[in-house]
Amino acid sequence: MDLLKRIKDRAPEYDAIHESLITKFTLVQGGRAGTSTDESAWEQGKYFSTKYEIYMYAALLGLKNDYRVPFSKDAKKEKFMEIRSWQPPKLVDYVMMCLLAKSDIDFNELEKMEEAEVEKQILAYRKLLEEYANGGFDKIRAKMEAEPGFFDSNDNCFIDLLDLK
Amino acid sequence: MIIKKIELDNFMCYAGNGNCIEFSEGINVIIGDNGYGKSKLYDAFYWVMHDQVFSPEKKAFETTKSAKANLISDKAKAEIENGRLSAAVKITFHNLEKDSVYILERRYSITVTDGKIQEDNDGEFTIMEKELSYLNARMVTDVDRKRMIVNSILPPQIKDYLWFQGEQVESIIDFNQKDTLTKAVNVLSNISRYDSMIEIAEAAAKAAAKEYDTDLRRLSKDSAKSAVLETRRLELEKKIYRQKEEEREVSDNLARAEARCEELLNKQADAKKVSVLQERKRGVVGRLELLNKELKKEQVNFHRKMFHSHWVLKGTEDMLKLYANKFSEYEKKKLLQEAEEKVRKEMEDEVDAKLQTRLPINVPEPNYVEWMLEKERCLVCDREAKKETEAWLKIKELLDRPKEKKKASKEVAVVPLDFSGDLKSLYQNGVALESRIEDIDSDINDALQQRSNLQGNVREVNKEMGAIELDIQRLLADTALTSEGAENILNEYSIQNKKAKDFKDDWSRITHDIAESERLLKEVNDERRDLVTGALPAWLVEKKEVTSDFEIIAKTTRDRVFNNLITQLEQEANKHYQDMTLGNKSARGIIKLRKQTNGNYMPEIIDSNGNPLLGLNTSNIILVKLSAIMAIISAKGNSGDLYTLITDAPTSVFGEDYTIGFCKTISKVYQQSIIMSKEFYKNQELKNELLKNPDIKIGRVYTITPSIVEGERADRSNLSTKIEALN
Repeated sequence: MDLLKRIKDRAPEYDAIHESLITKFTLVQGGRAGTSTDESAWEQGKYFSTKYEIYMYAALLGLKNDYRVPFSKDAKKEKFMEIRSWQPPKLVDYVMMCLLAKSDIDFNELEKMEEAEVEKQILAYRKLLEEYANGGFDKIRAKMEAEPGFFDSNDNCFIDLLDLK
Repeated sequence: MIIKKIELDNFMCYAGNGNCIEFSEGINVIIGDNGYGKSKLYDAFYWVMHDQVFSPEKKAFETTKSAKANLISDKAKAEIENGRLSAAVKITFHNLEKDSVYILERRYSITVTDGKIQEDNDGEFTIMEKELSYLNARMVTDVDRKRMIVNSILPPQIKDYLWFQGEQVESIIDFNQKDTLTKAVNVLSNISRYDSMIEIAEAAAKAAAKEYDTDLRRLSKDSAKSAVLETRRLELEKKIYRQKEEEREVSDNLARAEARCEELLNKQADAKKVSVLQERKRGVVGRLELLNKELKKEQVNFHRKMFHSHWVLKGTEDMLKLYANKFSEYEKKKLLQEAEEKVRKEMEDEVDAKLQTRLPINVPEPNYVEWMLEKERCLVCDREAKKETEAWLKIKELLDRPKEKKKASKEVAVVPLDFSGDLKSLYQNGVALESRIEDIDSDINDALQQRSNLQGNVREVNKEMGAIELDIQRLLADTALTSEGAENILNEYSIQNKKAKDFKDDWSRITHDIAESERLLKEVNDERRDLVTGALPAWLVEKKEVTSDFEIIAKTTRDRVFNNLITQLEQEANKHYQDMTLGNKSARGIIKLRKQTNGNYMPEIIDSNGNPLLGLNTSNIILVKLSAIMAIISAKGNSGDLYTLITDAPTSVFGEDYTIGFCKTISKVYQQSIIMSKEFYKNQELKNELLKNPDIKIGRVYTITPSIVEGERADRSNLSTKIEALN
């Protein structure tokens, strides 16, 4: 059975409260597959061409800082593209790897599990991805609140943010 | 004659009665910033003398008839509900020699009824005269006397050189207009008298020639041939006349083109500089565009590298280690489990093998064993094996084991799950990226360095562009050119140059043709003379020669007088030019009035070696013109002592550097001058020099200040002007 395929068939979700942040920095429509070029996207102040880019960025930010934020009970969730369509594949696999490293899943035990149990583990894994991404988004939001100029007057903001502790 | 004072009642911004400015000999200066009322004061002088005021909207002078109530202060109009209201300006002139006084007053009135204005159609102009200043004034009623007084105060032929506004200087002396200089020369001496003399001489010569021709015909031995030659002569003379007309036209055109070339040549050096700078600017702009494009690309790439070059993985090395450990544990455990399973299997196989050897060979095992179980006896060792005893169970085991084994092997075939492939590929992917992650920092630094280099280049080029732009602006300000104007000058210069060359070619052709026609005419005349039998009367020959000489003398005398006057004008202008430019570092040179092919004169500035100075700026050109204006007055002997110079903002067209030089010069040329100026308003140092410089004969100095600043004058109903004496 293909574990990665099963994981990648899932479409993770994000908390709708981050929608404006995502829209601010992401070329939500007319992205790379659309009419916009990298250059015009840049001119519009968009650092990410697609939602999965900012999502991966957020997830990695959360992972690096080991900061995950569970969704609140009444959170309105937004679904987007299944992981299998994310690019570039090497980077996506790396993110998957990081999450497996951070998860409680015992690989040896996993292989012995019944189908239903495996499904449960994959669900938990997806939740972990969502919580780390949520953590990452929260970090970006906090930075924006604490230092509004950071994103407006610095073209390297998201590169610099990688060093955020 | 000097102006003693001007009194203004409700004239434009000079609201109220009793606005009086007194003047003395020397330079009288009215200081005020833009919009403070200087030009209105100039208008007041002009209005009295010419019944006209300058309309800034129409950019032309308008008469009292059309200006009407605009002449009257808005404040005064706002304050009156009913009654009659006038704007009046009174100027008092004092003839110091005779101690006589003239008071010229112009007045314009309106009637206001319940705030409604009814305008008079015209103003009133009165002249009061006092033969001696202490006597009572009496009104001059005789029209001719009035005209004479006005003309004695401001003679019409020199009024343009006495009363003018700064911006008029360019047009007062327009050297491209042939009659400008003739007009100026006429002020110095009545040159037209010589023109009349030429006319008389020409007529006399013509009459004598006619008489001579008649006699030639009469004395001819071949009257038929003589008649033919006569016709030929007339034809040739007509032809020569036409050719000379043409020559005049071409030489006029040539002079015009040369003058324009000359004028453009002065500007051409500046225009070329501007053009070179513009070209350099275009180059820099192109470079800047490329650099900016590259920088933008670098910026975009910089961020795209977050994903393309996996920069986003910066600082995730620990997670790879974490996974590597977990994966290693998994693999180890999995290997162990597999090894254990193998051992177990081997052991089982061994047991089975052993069990198998204890069965008889070639016996169908299950049947044989079942038979033993039924018999409850081991047929191998022939011992009893009662049901459910240990021995019986051992035998039964022989039957069950293969089944279990079979079952077990079936279970092994259905391995529960195997994710090792995926887990391994994730690990391998991580390891493959490991070296990339290690390089991210230096990668980012390289990119930052690259971008910083580009930004540095952009800054450098921007700096270069700023410097060029500054040079261009300075040059444009100094030369009063525009970028477009500079290009036009270069284009026009080459056009005019080509025209001048063409006209010159035409001119050579025509002069050659004229010479040829004159040669033919001479031949005809000689031939006619050869036909004469007997002698022509001596008195007739002499008459013809004398009148011809008289014509030549009249023409050369006129030329000599004219040229002398030009030389005098040139000398005077140079004196003023040197005075005005003294103390200024920029190139000065000497004014030279160069004679053109059509007899006109064009000023040029030459250096001490006689070479024309190129690249003159507007200030230089204006100074030359002002020098010429002053020369016309000063070369006339005592004109400057007789009349007052009144000028509004004469110095605004050239730099402050020349202002003091200008003041010194006019104090030499004119007994009295009245100058409205803003230069002294802002520059305190200049004002101090004006008041203290011993070379300036200072008269009265005033500042004028409006009650409302210009920017806040939507409602002028409160506008008045404060006059304050500074000395």
